[in-house]
Amino acid sequence: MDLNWTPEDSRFRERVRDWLAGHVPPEARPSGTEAVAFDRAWQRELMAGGWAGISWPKEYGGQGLSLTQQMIWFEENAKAGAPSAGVFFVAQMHAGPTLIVMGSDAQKAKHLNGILGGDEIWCQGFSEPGSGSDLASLRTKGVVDGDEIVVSGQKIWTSYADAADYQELLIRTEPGSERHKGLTWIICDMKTPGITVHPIRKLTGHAEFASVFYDEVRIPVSNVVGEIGQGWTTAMATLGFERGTAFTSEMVHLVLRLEELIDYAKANPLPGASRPAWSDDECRRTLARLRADLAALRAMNYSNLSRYAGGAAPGAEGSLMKLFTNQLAQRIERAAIDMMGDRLLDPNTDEQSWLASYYRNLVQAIGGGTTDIQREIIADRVLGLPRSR
Amino acid sequence: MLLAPDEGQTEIATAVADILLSEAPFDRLYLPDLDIIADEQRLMDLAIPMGWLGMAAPESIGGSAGDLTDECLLFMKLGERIAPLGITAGALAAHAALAAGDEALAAAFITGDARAALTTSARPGRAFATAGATHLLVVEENRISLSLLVAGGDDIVALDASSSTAAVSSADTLLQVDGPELVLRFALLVASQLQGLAQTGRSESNEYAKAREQFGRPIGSFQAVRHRIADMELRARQVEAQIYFAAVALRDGRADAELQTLSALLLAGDAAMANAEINIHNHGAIGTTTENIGHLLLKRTILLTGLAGGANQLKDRIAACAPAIM
Ligand SMILES: Cc1cc2nc3c(=O)[nH]c(=O)nc-3n(C[C@H](O)[C@H](O)[C@H](O)COP(=O)(O)OP(=O)(O)OC[C@H]3O[C@@H](n4cnc5c(N)ncnc54)[C@H](O)[C@@H]3O)c2cc1C
Repeated sequence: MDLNWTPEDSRFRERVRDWLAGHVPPEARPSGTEAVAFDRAWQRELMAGGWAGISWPKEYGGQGLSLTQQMIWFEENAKAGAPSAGVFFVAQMHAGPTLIVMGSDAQKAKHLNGILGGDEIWCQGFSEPGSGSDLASLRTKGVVDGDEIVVSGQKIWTSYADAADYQELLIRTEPGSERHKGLTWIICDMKTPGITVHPIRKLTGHAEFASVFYDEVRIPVSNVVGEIGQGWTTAMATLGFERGTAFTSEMVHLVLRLEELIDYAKANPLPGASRPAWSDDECRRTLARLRADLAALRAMNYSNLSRYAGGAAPGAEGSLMKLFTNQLAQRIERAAIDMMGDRLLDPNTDEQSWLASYYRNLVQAIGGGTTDIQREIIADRVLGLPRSR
Repeated sequence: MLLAPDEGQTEIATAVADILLSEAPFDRLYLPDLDIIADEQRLMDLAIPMGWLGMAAPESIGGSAGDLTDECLLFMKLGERIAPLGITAGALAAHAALAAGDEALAAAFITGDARAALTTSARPGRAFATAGATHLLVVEENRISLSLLVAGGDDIVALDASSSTAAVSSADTLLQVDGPELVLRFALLVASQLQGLAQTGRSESNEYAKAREQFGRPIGSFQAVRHRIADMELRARQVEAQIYFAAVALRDGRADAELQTLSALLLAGDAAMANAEINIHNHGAIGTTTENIGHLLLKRTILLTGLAGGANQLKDRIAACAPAIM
């Protein structure tokens, strides 16, 4: 085992670092509608710099980087405070890869360049009011009518639905079918008549997700990705696509965030106290324990990646990583909130940013499968326990 | 960058696990007339010809020339089976003698001609793995030293069957090694064994949850139980990865070696303790008896974490470290 990078990987890191130093925008990502322009500008910057599609194969315009180099890319981006994919997240990390694996030549030709170039925003229409954790119970209906599929029903929690050009839409096309059977994964143009988007405000204050209503929306059959009735296969095709590199940015962010909090504790007293928080045994030891946990988060990230690079197929480690990352993020933010106390009450303090990320992390533990569902996956797929459902 | 065992390492770890499974099955410990001290000696006599005490010692003194990652993998497996602490004491005594320039003595620990008991500054005057020991290894905060063992009483069994122990009195120091390196190595070998204990807690619970039925279903189908075991798995994996990281950091003299090693030890102690407690709970009444391994996982954990220094002390030292190198 070793922690050294090959000369080639080290040179790659240097190159990434140099490029980022000259290109990362100094201003923070704006909220609301201006966020889209900001995210687009960054995506175009990446494209121009030859960094678009970090985890995409070269033949589709991506960079075709090794897993290690993808990880280095995410590490350096996080360290440099570079923007995240933002509204382009689904397009870059999910829709594009799904088309690469399952799409027809025409679908690839139509969308992949636009996704890389920051022209196409995508959203993911999977969850429904009655189908969250239990996605396979979804009921939004699609009826084949000649060369069109007519869609009626409702999706919810669709992130960036109001900004999106396209949606990866999962619908039930076989009447009377159950669970994973009879579903279809289809590309839905968000400008198609019959679609209504109602934004929903989160506890963070941002209306970044929405309810989407479909009233006899007519979508060409040629937009089906994979086979009609085989939508579950398409939806699962890209599960292991990034093979863990996606956790790298979050890990680095958390490490930097904790060290920032430690500096804060050395400079500021606890509410109602006069000495720095760091001199309080309980506070200091809480932060020390978090330091140890973050070391382990990083070690797990490297360890998983080493196994994939050695040819191991990605399994349910992603669920272990998500569970650990979500919990750790919440503990860090909670430690911050406890330390800041009444300073959070003043809307003009710097501490407000901690409140914002505390809220964000609470929300994060729901999206993409709740922590309960991650434990279910670990119990099923890592431990081989008899199923609960 | 490679932070996972390679093929050769996996092979060795599997072989060690197989030997321990047949030579040190848990159910031998449930016999009412078991002589623990004799059993400890029997396992020492197994470990010595296997070369386990010299896993990371140079060939010139009879070692296998592995590195710290090999040694950690071995001690994880030893921890899983609650192997005698004399292996830890002997392996470290060999490293200490070698570092002090006494090759003959180092070789003697590997061949078993010299045998070490262990004490730490956490509890001076009380040594462990004393049965059959000739020397005493003393681990302090920044120093490891070796003297002849002067036992102050007969060997007894500490914490039930967890280890032989005896009161010891001080003797002239034969040699000493100052500095953090060897002390951190001790910390990491303890952490590795704690990882093994956490792993066993998780595996014992997992097997039992598949086999034991209540309400007409295996208890592993109840979420309260499955989710506890999922958390046990996460703890075992966190600590495993952190031990690899720390082993490489310490072996290569990285500037954050102390932070990485102490983090491994802190997390390992907590994981072993939590998994041991939860494993007992997962077994219901049988878990509370001496006819199940659960109590020994707990007692060995208490012994190892006690020897290695308390959690608060570790946290204060982690707090005093510079941030990890990113
Ligand atoms: C910020 C955010 C963004 C999102 N973006 C999108 C998006 O872009 N597209 C999209 O399709 N969806 C999106 N979602 C939806 C997300 O996937 C679902 O919210 C999630 O899967 C949970 O479903 P639910 O909200 O219906 O909760 P429910 O499934 O109703 O869960 C309620 C509670 O019950 C628990 N629970 C449910 N089933 C089980 C079980 N079997 N065992 C134990 N506990 C259980 C859950 O853990 C939870 O605590 C987003 C959600 C959030 C919060």
